[in-house]
Amino acid sequence: MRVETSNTFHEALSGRLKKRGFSHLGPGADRHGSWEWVFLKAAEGLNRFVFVSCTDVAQFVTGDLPWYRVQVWAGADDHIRFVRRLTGELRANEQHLGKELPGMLSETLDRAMTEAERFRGVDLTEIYLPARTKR
Amino acid sequence: MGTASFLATMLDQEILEVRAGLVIAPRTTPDDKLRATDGNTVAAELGGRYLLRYMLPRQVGQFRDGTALPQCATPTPYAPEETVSWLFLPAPDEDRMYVMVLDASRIDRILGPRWVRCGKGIEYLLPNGFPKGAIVAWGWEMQVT
Repeated sequence: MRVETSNTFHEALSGRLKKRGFSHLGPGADRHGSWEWVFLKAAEGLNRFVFVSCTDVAQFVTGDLPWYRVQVWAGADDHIRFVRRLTGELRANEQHLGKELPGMLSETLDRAMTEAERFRGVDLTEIYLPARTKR
Repeated sequence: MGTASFLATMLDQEILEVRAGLVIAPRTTPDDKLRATDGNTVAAELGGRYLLRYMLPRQVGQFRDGTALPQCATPTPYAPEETVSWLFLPAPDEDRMYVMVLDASRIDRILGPRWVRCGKGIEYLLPNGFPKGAIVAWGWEMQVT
């Protein structure tokens, strides 16, 4: 993915999520094969996350434009336990990322934010590794 | 949860938090608030161990000349069936079957370490990517089995 495309997509995502109080945690990076942008909202004792990712899909390549598997995840944690759930997925190409994708994703993003906002402590079913102390 | 993955991550946590005296940044830490340092420092803190950048089979060969794009890397080896879960990677039905081994001391700028959000691993951010010279010895990807 080109940096310009990532930046354009990131700006569009940030604007949409900011309206619901989610702040971006970085400009995006390639995480072991998938570009990812992360947004955080701390509310009611939990950290609430929305993850948006693009994984290139070689078998869907047509013409010169790379195609991506775009996923939106909702998550939450309390620094001890966490939960993560896939909200939605679609296919898009590099041109979509720069233009139409934020619109194409709008409903999925809204659902992810709602899901992240609705998580309660009882939903956090996985446990992080505990912090260690200096001996 | 795989015991081997737990042990591998815990040993890396031990090296960083207990031996090197670092604080692994909380998951809520934005990229621009992470500790920024040079690769030599990270290599020393890891006891000279390498960083790992996992990838999908179709991405093999894409990074043999290095990259200037921002990348994440981890010090921890995972089996393919556990990499996705421990690092909470997108496209979880696609195992990361390959890994590129990187010499941190050859990378100019590294941010972190930080705990993986909604995952259990430890990650670094390479904001300027990594040069070809950082790819260890054999210069290409290794299949993980």
